[in-house]
Amino acid sequence: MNRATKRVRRSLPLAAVLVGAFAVAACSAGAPGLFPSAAVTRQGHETEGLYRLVFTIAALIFVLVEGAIVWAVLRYRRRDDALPVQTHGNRIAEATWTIVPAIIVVVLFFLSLQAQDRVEAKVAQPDVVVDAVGFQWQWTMGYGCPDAYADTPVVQPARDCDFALTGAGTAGPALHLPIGKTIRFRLHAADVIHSFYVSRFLYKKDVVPGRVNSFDVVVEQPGTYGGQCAELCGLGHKDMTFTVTAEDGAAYEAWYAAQQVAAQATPAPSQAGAFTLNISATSAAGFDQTSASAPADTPIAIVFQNKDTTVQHNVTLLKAGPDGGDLIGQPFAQPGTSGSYQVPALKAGTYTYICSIHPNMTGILTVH
Amino acid sequence: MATTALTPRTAAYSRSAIYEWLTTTDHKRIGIMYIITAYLFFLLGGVMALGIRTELAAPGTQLLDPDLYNQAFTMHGTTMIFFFVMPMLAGFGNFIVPLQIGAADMAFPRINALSFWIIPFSGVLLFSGFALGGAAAGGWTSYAPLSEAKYAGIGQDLWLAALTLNGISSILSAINFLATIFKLRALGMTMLRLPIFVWTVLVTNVLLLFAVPVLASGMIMLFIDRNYGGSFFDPAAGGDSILWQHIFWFFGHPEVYILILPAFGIISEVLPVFSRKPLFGYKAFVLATVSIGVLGFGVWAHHMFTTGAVFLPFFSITTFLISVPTGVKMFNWIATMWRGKLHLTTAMLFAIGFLSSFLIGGLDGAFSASTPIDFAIQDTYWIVSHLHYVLFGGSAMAIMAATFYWFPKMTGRLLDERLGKLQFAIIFVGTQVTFFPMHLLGLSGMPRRIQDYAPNAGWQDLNVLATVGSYLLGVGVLVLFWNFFITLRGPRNAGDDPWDANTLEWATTSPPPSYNFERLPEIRSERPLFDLKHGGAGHAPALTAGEGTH
Repeated sequence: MNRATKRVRRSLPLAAVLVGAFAVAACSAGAPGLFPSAAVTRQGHETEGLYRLVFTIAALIFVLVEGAIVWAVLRYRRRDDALPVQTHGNRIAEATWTIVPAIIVVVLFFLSLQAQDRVEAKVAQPDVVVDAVGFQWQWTMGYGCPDAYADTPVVQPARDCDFALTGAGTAGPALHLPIGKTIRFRLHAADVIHSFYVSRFLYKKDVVPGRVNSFDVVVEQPGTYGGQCAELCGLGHKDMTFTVTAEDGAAYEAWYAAQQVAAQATPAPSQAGAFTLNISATSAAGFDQTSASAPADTPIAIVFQNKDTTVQHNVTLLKAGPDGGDLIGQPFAQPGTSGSYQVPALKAGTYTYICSIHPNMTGILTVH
Repeated sequence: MATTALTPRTAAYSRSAIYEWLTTTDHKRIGIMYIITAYLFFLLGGVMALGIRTELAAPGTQLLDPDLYNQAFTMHGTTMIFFFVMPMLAGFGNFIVPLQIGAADMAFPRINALSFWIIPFSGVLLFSGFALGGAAAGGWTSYAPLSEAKYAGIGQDLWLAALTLNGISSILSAINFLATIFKLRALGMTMLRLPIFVWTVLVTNVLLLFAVPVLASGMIMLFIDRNYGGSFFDPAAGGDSILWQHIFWFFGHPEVYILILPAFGIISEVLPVFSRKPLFGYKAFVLATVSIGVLGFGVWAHHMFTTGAVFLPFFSITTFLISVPTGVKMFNWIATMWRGKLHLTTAMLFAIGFLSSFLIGGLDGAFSASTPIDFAIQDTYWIVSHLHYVLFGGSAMAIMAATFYWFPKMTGRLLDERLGKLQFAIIFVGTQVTFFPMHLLGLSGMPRRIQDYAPNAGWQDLNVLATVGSYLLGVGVLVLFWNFFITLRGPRNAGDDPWDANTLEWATTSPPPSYNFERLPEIRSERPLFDLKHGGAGHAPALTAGEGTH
């Protein structure tokens, strides 16, 4: 085997990995790839364009530099012990590879700055304002909230707004937005830092206690998109999801009206002869009552008082449904309010109750 | 060449080897103890990484519930940064810097021993959280208010105490390094003849001296918040949760350079020796190192672009600009190999692996510097990929290169090259397979620090790939430890200068005697040993009258 083939053979693993990395990246079109998920907002398209530009330049530099490394390794392998020419430097070459990259990054900076101005631009009068409250570990989304919310960090949308969306169980709230309209999100944190992130918006903004962050966005493409908290916020970080459904104006208006009606509806009356069970919570550390008891084969009305001033809670009975499923307490009791949940007759036994967004809040219900 | 085997002065006393090592103030022994400690923490951090990767291989809970998962990634990051890379680089610095500048020891040998002994004890303090009701779980960044008493338990206090101690160790050792480099250089070793590794250690320790006290103050403030009713970071009581991020990242970004600059130095030692050429553009390289050090203090808020609380353009332009001196280094390294006579030893392979992996980590930086792109990729797996290309593809690869390069000087034995090359192949492939898919996961919206993801999110295939890659990395590290084991059982086969190297540490025995040098060669350039072997004829720059004398 001559020396050249041997060199090539020895260098194959390196080349194979580089090619492999690219192949993995390239062959997964549609699935996760080298470009962000397709943007659905006007602002996201700005970011998308900028990403393509930076990616192109970075890819060129990558090929150039990686190529030079591979070439040097292949071409300049040691073949004898003679000392090579001892080059200490070259001013022209060094000046070139200082100045050219400097020009590239300064140009990129100005392009990036212009895009930033367009992405972060805010209109005087947005068409829709949504107040998102992040808390451990869910979101409340308030529609039609007072203007004062623009600079009030701690808010209660369920009390002050047209209506407030909460999640069910560990599923987050489902937002609806009209397409083509300017939507302003105002972000409030009830406890720790969260981050409001919709990957198809190509955008996120931190939800910071003590301040109200906001951003404007115009959704252009109808559809339902997933969102999720992007800043570590504790045990349930992974569960802080929500969805955004973008639809045309008429559908949005109809949805909005239905939500308003539902918010004003009076809660269903208690079943006749139901046993009343009082449970309360003062903080997300646990229920005030870690044990409770109720008679068997009798409907139960749980009256839940949420004395926690920051976060909403509910009472969810695990594996108590007729089909063995969980009985999720809906709706959540907002901070400082109470709610009541109707539970069908239960068989004798012990049941665990939790707050469905705080699985660490537990208690035992003994039915006998 | 000095090859005399001198009788150690301590032979007169009958002390056990264990006593000798426990009480030593010899910079070489302290360096070796730093390195061993760092490798042990590397194993611990690696086990946690494998736990994280196993958990993420499929939706649902495989191995770690959310509580343990949060502890695992918090302790993984904290361990790898503060108890693997930092002590490892301090260890190589300890062993190599006095030798490279022709000194007999560090300036303050007993402070040096203290700096070392703080590390294992603070590490035990950090890990004791696992036995005392849960280790820290707020990420290595421990953002307030999540790290406040209301949301985090005893593990957070242990984390603060351990890292404050660790910081004291860093400050002491920074003072020691600076005094050593400024005051103990041999005759003729002018600042512009310092080996590049010494230069990078110098700049790193200046960064440490400015950055670590800031972190220590922040940690003490958080400790007061948690235990004595303070409210520095509690907005409900008039504090500011963003303040912690400013303090943390004012330390945290220079910290990134603290973790990578000595790695640059290692690469700048290995590449010239195995290319048989001097480092291309020595002075530009020194200038680039210093400018990275200065600019490194002006980029911290690029970690905070999405907080809505920082002035975006300033931190965007400084972040773009810091890529220029880093790029200069990359080009200088390639020019060093250009028209050289490359000898592909394991150390050289790791140096080349460093170049090709760190390049990706560096290019990623240009994306994060652009604020709109950062809004999309911040806190996703893209960032996880970027930081691991810098810290694993960069720092860890350089540490492997340094291990193979300086092991013969430390022990008198050459690590097995065949096992070394096998290890390089496994680790290089493992690095790409583990960390490259994370770019794609981040771009498709997977946030970092989540214990679980929905089955229909489309993230599983790439996560499986990354998990397979991480197992490869684990195997690669085991090969290294096997190599240590068999080599240390073998004969002393290295000789004084096995690599035909350039710098002074190779002008003494392997391992060196306790006082380091029998006699020093004349120092007329940054490659005194090269000058000695090749007579300097036509190679070293001609001396002007008076240069090289004091």
